[in-house]
Amino acid sequence: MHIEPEILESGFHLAMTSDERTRVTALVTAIGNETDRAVTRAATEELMLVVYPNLRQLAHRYLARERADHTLQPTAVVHEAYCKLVDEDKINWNGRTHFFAVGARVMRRVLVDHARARKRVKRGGSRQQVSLLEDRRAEGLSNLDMEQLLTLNAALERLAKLDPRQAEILEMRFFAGMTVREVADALGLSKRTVEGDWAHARVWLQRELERGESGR
Amino acid sequence: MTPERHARVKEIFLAAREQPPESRETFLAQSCGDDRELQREVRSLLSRERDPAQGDSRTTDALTPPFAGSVEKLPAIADYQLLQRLGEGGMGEVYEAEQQRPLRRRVAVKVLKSGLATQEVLARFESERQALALMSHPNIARVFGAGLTEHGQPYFAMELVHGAPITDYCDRHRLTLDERLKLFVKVCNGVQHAHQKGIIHRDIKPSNVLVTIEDGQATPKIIDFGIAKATDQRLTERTLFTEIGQWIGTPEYMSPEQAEMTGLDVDARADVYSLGVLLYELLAGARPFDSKNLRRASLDEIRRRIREDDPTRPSTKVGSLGDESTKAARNRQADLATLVQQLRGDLDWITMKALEKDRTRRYASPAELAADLKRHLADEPISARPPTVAYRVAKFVRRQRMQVGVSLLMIALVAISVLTTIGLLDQSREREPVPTSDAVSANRVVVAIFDNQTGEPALDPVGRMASDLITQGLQRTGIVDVVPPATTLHFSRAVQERLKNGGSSDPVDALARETGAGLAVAGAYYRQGDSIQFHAQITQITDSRPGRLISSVESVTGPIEEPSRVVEALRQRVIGALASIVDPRIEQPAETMGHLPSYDAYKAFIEGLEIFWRGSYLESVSHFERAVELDADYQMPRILSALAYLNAQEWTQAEILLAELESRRADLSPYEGYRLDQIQSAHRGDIEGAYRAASRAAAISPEFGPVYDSASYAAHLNRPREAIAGFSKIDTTRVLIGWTNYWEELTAARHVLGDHLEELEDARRGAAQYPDSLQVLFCEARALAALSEVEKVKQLVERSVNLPPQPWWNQGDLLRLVGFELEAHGHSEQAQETLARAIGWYQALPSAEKNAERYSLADALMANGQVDPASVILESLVQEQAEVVNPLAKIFHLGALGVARAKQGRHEAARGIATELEKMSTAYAYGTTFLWQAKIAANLGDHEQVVLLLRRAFAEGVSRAAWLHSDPYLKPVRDYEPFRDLLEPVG
Repeated sequence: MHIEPEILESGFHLAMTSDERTRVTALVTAIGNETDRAVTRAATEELMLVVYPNLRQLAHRYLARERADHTLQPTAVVHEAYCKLVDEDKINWNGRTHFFAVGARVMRRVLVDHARARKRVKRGGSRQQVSLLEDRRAEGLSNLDMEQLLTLNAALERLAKLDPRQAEILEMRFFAGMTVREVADALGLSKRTVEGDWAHARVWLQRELERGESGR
Repeated sequence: MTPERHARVKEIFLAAREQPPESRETFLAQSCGDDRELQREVRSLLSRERDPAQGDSRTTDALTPPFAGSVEKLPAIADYQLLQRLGEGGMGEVYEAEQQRPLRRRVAVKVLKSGLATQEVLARFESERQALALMSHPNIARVFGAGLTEHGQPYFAMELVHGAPITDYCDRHRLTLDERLKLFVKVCNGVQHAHQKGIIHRDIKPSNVLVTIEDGQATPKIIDFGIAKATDQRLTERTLFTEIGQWIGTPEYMSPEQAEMTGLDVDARADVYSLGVLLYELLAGARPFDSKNLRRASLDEIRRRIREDDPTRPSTKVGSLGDESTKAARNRQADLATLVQQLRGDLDWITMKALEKDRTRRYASPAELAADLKRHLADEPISARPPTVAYRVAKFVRRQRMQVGVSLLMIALVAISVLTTIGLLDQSREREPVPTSDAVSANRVVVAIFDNQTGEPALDPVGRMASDLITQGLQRTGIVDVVPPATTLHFSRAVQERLKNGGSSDPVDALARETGAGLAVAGAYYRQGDSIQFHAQITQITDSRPGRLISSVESVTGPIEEPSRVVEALRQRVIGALASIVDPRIEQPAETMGHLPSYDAYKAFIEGLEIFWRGSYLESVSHFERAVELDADYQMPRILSALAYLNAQEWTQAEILLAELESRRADLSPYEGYRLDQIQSAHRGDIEGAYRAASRAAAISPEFGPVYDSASYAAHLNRPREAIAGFSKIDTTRVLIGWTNYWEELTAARHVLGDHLEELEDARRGAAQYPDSLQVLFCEARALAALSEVEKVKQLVERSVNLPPQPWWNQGDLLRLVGFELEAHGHSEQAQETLARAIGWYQALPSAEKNAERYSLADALMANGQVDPASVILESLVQEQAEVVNPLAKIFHLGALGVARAKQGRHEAARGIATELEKMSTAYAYGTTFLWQAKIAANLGDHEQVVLLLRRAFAEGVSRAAWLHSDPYLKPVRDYEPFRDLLEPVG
């Protein structure tokens, strides 16, 4: 992932105050140490609120530079946000994991919002133009175009109705690049459970997407 | 589709993929039954799984949503044909590939995630390429080259190793410790080879040491040589950022010097450290630093722990893992006790030496580490510890597999000596001292803890050290009466507490009055640049007048790095000043008292003591050993280590230390020498000898420790009058703090003499001092039972329900022992009622505790006449004991089963067990084999035998104190005249 320095310097840093960083670090620390569920949930919600505008801004900086040879890697964006928003020396593993879990959710929303907006604007435009993510060299969602992203989103929504946990796992894997172990920690499940859910959800999704594409 | 249906499909799908492919159809037919739709559904999912046989790789599938046609695209690399993904690591992904040119071969290709500075990685790799090419060793996977993929990501090509991480391999194949060590030695050899070629690995961990089978032999292969350096793995923010998900696996193996952010100067000894962690994990089944706790820690905290925290020894660690402990033992084909035994000693030392924080103290190379392990495997003395004569002897003894044992009696005796050797008894420091109006004594000195005026809390222990060492110097003179250090400590805290809560009196005056001292030494220390300066005053206190300063000691200054030198000078000044006030003779012996420890050694020593008092004996040893390491002439921690091992029933280790102390006898003061004699005699089961030694020590220094010990030994020798005389010398309100045993021993002596009214009075004095002690409550109940005050006994039992357990005493013990006493004094009905209650109490315990209390339960059942259920419990205990190396427990379980057989009328079986006991080794049994033969004989009606056997038991170390008259197993001989004669007090 190559980020040109001026991007970091310009918008993002300005947008984020040092108070925000302190706040995010405190929230992440709280989530990492707290065992009371209600408290954790409240802190997570607040974290979402703080992270969302930052992530969106960061993602849009990438998307604004859309060119065929530029890619958006959601995973990288989340990691980037993490480095900027969290004072790493102060937080523990649990907090970190939860940040990524939240990041995955936010990233998905950012991307879906963006794709929908693009679709409206560029309706009728050539597919070439909406394929922001054509480059296939990196991992994660980079080899999806916006069309596929919306298809994926719809499938995840269907899955959430059948098995919300599986949908959550896919979200974390796809949108924040979390490992099985991280997902397990974030959801408080055993690694084995997550592996099982992941294995099944993956093939379920594959079949779902095949159906979607063939039915189009 | 409904969520229920979806869940059902998932369930069957997951179960089906665990099946081998050939039996899947059958499995599907069975689990789906008639539901054709369900079957089809699962089958369609199964068919979409990529290569389901690929074990672990399925969990690391690409993080790409599986759109049709978007089959995962493997990276393209010139000269390599990538075949399949093998796994996903923190840094990137590993593929199996076929190299096309210059030669065709299967290789592993590791493609790094984007985000690493590509050019730097390659440049760093290039700098080592030459050296890497020179490496050729059967335990090293070769690295062939590095480059960029067509998309510009760095990759490394290396020898393809199909194998499991070494820790997984060892557990899966349940390798014994020796087998693990042999495998590990090969790993060391590989790393050594690389070091000789100038390559440091920098990232040794289980996932980089794979075990594969070559020529039918398990062969470890170290992978990733040269990669850590190229990718510059350090515990930094960047590492965290790039090593998503993986970094947490790394810091645990990282040496303290690598954990530093600088990371500039890393040499071969960093690999020795990582090897040490790997060895630790292979031996103990856990890492020195708990991953779970580490995960809760912030990065700064992780770094701090790696740099500063001393890991527990493998032998201690393996026993502290809960359920994992038994699993670890099973995976090493041993039971837990054996495993701990195997780890203790050599393997502990070797591992800890590899894990030294200071790399100059580590093994200088992997070869040295391997050499020590080989010596251990050959039962030769290792280098991890300077081999002393005693150590060599011990090693020889172990080679002979000499049987060692355990004695419950010994534990009690030794525990007493321990506490009293130090003379520090502050188990109950939170308890308010009992106010006393006793007058101060003009010839009694208290040395207050010196005030830390340096502003640095880190220097707090200096004040205590000064107080302790001056006190010890004065004690050894035997001329003045000195308040023992623990009493001083206890009352200082109490006085401080009171002052904090608004008290207004002078703390020194208050301390002197609390401790009954007519003279108080007190002072403070200050910091001046690199110097530390002590001031001290001597205050005189009388009943009628507040404290009056009578002498100011000239101040003493010295370098702050060596506080002990300053304290030594201070001590001489203080003793000199006291000599002119009290008795000129004290000056000389105090000077010859010998060695003062260095400050660091002293600090380690008192840390050990704190842990020792909590009963964590083995844990305390590492602190004592550290104290000795820091100051080789410091004898006290050696004595304490020996005692700690004795208390932990680690006989071999204890004997090594005792032998070592014996060889240093010339360095011991006469007082310390007698104390050593006492411990050694007690350890031999020679109570007479211990009594003599303790009495001699008491004559030199009439302080609490030896006085108490000699009284206690007198009681065990059935000399209650001597015992009472000794116990009475002890000031119970000022010296005896937290030591409830005192009351039990004193009242037991009265009980034996039949002075039950005095016994009751003493028991009530004890109860006033310790109102919530089960042990002291028992004393009162025992006296009341003898006085036939059955109702009052009942009331006491009711009161006991609300009391907390204390060491060796829980409510079950109280009920059971009260039952025995009631029975012995002819109150059979109430006795049985109480015993039934005890049984109920044991049975209601949660299962883990219940399991630990099975012997006590059987004991209560038997006394309650329920012999059959008792014998069932004992049978299973005896069976389990067959594997356990605790001969004393075995003797007790087997003996009790023998009694049960006799009571069941199975006389042949009972005699058989008696014979078995007779044949057992008497070494370390402290007469208990004879004791149990006597109990069996009593229940078989061989009354003459009982007396003969008991005499032998006493000669070998069994106590003949008060327990004899109420032991339910000896009930049949209670009225037998020669047995009664045996109980008759002799002094």
